[in-house]
Amino acid sequence: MRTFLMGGVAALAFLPAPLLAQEAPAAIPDQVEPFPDSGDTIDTVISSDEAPVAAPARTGDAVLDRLNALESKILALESRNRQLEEAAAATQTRVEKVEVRAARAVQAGPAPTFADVGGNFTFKPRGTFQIDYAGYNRRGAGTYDYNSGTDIRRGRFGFDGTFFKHFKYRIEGEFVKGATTLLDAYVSYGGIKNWVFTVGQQKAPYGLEANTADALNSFLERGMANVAFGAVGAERRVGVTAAYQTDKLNATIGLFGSSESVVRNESTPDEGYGVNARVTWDPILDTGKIVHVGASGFKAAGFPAHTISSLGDRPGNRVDGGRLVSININGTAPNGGAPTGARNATYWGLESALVFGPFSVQGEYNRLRIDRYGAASTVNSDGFYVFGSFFLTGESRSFRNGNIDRVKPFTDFAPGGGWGAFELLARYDVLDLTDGDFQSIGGAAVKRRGETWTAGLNWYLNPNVKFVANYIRFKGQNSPLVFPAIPATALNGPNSTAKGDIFGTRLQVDF
Amino acid sequence: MKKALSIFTAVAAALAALPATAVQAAPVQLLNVSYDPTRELYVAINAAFARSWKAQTGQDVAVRQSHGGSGKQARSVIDGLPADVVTLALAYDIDEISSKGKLLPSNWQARLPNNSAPYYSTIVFLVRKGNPKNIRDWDDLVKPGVKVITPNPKTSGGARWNYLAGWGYAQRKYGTTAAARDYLVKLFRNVPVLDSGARGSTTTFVQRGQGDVLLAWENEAFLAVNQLGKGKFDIVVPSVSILAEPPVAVVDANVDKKGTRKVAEAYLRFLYTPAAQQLIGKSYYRPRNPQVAARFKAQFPNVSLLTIKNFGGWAKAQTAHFNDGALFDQILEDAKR
Repeated sequence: MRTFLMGGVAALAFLPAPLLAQEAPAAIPDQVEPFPDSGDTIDTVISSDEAPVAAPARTGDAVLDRLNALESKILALESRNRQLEEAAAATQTRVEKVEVRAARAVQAGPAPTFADVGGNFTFKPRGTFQIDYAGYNRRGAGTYDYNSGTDIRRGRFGFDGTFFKHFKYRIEGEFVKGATTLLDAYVSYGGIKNWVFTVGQQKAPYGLEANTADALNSFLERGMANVAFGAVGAERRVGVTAAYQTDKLNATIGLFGSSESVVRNESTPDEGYGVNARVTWDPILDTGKIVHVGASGFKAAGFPAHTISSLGDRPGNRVDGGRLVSININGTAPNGGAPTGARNATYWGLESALVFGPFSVQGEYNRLRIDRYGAASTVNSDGFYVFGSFFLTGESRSFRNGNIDRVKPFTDFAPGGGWGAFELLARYDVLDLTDGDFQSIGGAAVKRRGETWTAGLNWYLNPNVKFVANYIRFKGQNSPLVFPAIPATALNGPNSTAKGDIFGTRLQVDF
Repeated sequence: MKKALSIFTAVAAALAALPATAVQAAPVQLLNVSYDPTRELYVAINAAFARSWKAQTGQDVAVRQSHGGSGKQARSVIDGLPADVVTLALAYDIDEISSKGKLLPSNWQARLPNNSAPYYSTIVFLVRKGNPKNIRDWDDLVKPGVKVITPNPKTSGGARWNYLAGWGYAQRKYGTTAAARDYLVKLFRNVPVLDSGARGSTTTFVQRGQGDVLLAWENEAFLAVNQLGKGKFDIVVPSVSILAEPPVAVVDANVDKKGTRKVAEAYLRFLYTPAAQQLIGKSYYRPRNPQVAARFKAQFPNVSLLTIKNFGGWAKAQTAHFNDGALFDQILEDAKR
């Protein structure tokens, strides 16, 4: 009995072990035998003897089968070719993008332009160097000792740039005559279509030759009236302008103070100020065919000590700085007393140019009126120039934004290659400061008329290098070039007219 | 004598209560690089194998799994993924591991019975509950307005079976290669998105609700109907499908390096055991074992199946259809126009 019971317990003990261990783990055989074909147990296998579905299907005709196989191969090759063409096109696009990036990064040329790909940021150096020579010959009366010789007429270096696409700036300084002068120093905003707003020291809107870049005018110097009247209320000043520009119409108005070079403190006069405006219209603006008209004006006031000195200009050349005709409007500004002298200046001018192929004609008329304090009369002056030009080599003058644009020769000068461009010019220029109410002697107005006749030859070696030669014949009544200070008794006399010739040349490099 | 018997039975009882302890060996790890839809299958297989191996050898074994599109997985192994075994969707992918990776011999498929495929499957259509687009057969897939979800044959083994099944249907029905090509162009025109693997396509169809019909591994379709989206889907069995044989193989170079050959080979042999075949059937794969298969007759519909032999074998099928610039590439291009 005990034995049976213990055997039973032993048997029972064997039971929990497999029960506790889920199912019995399957034995892993050392070898496995293939299963017999399941037949149609759960599916029906289609016989492989059935016509094979591998492409292309065999027709049994050897030629047709070969054709099918070749067609299949052609299709495969065409597909592959298309893939390769797409890949090549994608690569070409990438290469072009890379090239544009590289090109935009630094554009070499006369001056390298650094730019980002989008043109949002650019930086470009700029400069103008003019090396002059002039030889003077006196034909008229007087003892003025002309200083023939050389002169660095302009030596400028600066930068143009763009910030965030719409903000442009220019900073340029002049480094001649032992002094450093700041010329342009402004920022402009062009984010609104057709509008440009500029703040800083900049050329006031004034006239065609005045607002054209100094390196791009046609003669050694601008028209005399242009220069004389501009000194009164235009040229480079600190101010703000708003300009409306389309490709044919340009209208600019600005409010200006004086130039940055004036140092002011308690004892110096207050800053002068003025309003300047210019409108130009190019009804015809094509290559080789241009009609340009314009008008400008300014009103300026606040002259230091109510004085305008040396209102006048040199005879088409500045190697010698003597003025051909000149007047002084003197004034006083006593503390608490009545001021005398120039109160304000009003200017208006007209401009016009015509271009027809290699021929062109250009002219400007300028008029200045200076109002004086008290009972003193106004001082009226005027002047004009007109010139014609002809390109021997066939080029044509061009305009941009209402100003004269750079001449680009058809062929640049190169030994064994082209000669550049040659231009012949002739100009008649008058500045008339005669005003009997202002200055008279013996009941007659003191004559102050200056005239020059200029024959010019320009040689444009390439768009950035130019050689200028002017032969100038000048005449000035009651001129400082007779002798620096004409005594009153000699005014209007036979020996108070300066006459002479200048042969002036210039080598110019600008970028 | 009686006393001896009593002592014996007592000792036997005591021993029976003790767990069987054999010689303890260090635990071993295996990496099974598999194709996309076999996750649930190998969770069950791995647990059962670990128990069997432990029972037989006393050694602990942990099988880690990696799943993805069959072609992608093959490329990973060639690139250095240290698989001890590969259980991929089609023989061609393991052929690539052999020829390109030189990781196992070219006669690998002959090393295990039934072309090293202990289970097989087929391609069916998974449709929304009630079959609103009335999809009955392959021709319904090319109707306008029907959106078909299938993975990309370039990366997914299942997708290659899908494609060949469709081609086979069209060629048998319409008679010419050109007609079969046209059929597949129309089919791929109806495909809005090509996932990289079968499980990805299942997710797109089941979870993201995209498409009207999923060309699915049969096991995926069952999983969706019975588990992932119970009551939301129906399975449609087409008139003809393809016998998809997902083979298994030991990766010789890796197991020899790691010293895991014995375990790895045992792991694959385990798949042929009745216990594993049962798990295979329960995971909706068609078991190779006829006795086990008979138990699942009610679960699996009887399908007419083409085989890869109808296509001249994998090498021919790959060259004609799936190489760069071959028929599938052309078909996809035409479908885009």
